[in-house]
Amino acid sequence: MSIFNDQRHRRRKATREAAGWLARHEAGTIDEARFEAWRAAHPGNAIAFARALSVWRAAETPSSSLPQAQPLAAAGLSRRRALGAFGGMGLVGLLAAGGVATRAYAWDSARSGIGECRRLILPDGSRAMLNTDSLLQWRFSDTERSLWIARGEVALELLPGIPARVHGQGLTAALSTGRFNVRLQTGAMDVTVLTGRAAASTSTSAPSSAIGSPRPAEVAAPNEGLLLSAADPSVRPASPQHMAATVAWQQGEIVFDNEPLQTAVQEYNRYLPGKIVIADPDLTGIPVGGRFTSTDPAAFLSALELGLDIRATPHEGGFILTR
Amino acid sequence: MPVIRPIDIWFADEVFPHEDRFLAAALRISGSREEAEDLVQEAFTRLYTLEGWAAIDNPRAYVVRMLRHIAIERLRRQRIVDFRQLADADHLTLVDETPDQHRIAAGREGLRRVSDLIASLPERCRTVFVRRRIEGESSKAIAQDLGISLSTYEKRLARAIELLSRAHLGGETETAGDGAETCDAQGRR
Repeated sequence: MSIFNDQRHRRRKATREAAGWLARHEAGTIDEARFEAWRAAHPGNAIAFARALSVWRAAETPSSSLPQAQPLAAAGLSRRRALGAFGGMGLVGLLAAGGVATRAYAWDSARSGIGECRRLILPDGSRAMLNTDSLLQWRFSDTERSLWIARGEVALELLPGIPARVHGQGLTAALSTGRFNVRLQTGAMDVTVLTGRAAASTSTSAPSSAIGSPRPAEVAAPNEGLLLSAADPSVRPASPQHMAATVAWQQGEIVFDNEPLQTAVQEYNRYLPGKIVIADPDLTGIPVGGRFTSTDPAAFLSALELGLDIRATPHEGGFILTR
Repeated sequence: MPVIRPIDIWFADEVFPHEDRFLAAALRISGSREEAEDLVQEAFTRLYTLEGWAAIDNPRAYVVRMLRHIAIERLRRQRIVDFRQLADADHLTLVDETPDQHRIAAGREGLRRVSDLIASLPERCRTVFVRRRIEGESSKAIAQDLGISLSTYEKRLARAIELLSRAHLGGETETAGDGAETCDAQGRR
């Protein structure tokens, strides 16, 4: 704040000095060389002088010579109205795609529609929360709690108990008591640990190449992510920003931290029945940041237009982005 | 170089009358009033160094676009950015689309405000300002008639201009309620 106070103080000083120069100019006593030196000394001085001049000039015009009042233009209303309509659309999608919990085979399951977020309590009292467009199945036996994420992203809060495993994309992780965010990516399962431990599990489909002796399993601790894929599992630390962005959806928000526009749009599209499409390939790499409401892209699109001059044109329920 | 150059007149007539609007727009994009004022100041600074200012046919829209770009530049330097404020600045784009009627109306409002502000000046300041500016009397004649030195006249006039430009910024309402002494209390700050 002190920077701003300094700047404010400097502006006040410039305003006072500018008024002095203009008064001396009017009185015919101005020293032009000194004035020029003052004006050139700082851009703020030139601006202050022009501002003083503007009130001086504005004071001259007698009010009778002013043009008649004209109705204010109502331009831009249509756009505002359109944005409002888009905002409503997210809500409609959310209502239409209600979640349904059903019993399928020996597994229980719960699903969430696009733009929907569901909470549920598992048989042992542990909690799960489904992000948009997700499908979670579970089967709790006497020896194991098995969770299968068939689609999407699920947050888990596991109570102490028998071993728990989470499966997805043909991969498996063993979870301790704790809180986790599990998200399926193309060909991969990403487990972020908030509390507890997550270990890459090799036992599931057990293809076990002949010589491959049991490696020490990769284990992720709090504020780490465990990425399981066809390649070897890897553990990487997650920054506070990354952690915040990872769980933002639980508050109905979506956070971008310098993501390329393409990634941000893909992320947003998970929540939208009508998708956003980037028409101009030049736009895909532009980095964007921000925190938005996940189910309503109006603010996001407006920020793109405002900040990056990218236009969002409605198209078949979605939007096309162009410059 | 003349004291009052073409760019100064252009600024005075085409840019500053919309300053309230710029500030309102900047307030929507920034977190605080200080930041907003700083944003506007930065836009003015850049505008002042622009070679092709005379070719700008709609200075108001131009400045609003500058504000937008400067705000974005600043946002990009931060890590996690709260874009929601930016999204609120919907009306920034409205400004771009509005035709000349709007400018005229804005100008009218600005003038009405200036005459109100003049009325609220401390009396001694107002007298010299009105006689010089509105009635067009010569500085020497005014000073002689009031029985004050040219230097005192000059200080009162400067104080009037200062109070008007500060009030014009919209942020400081020091003009109203100041006693007549204020006008002559030149060096107190």
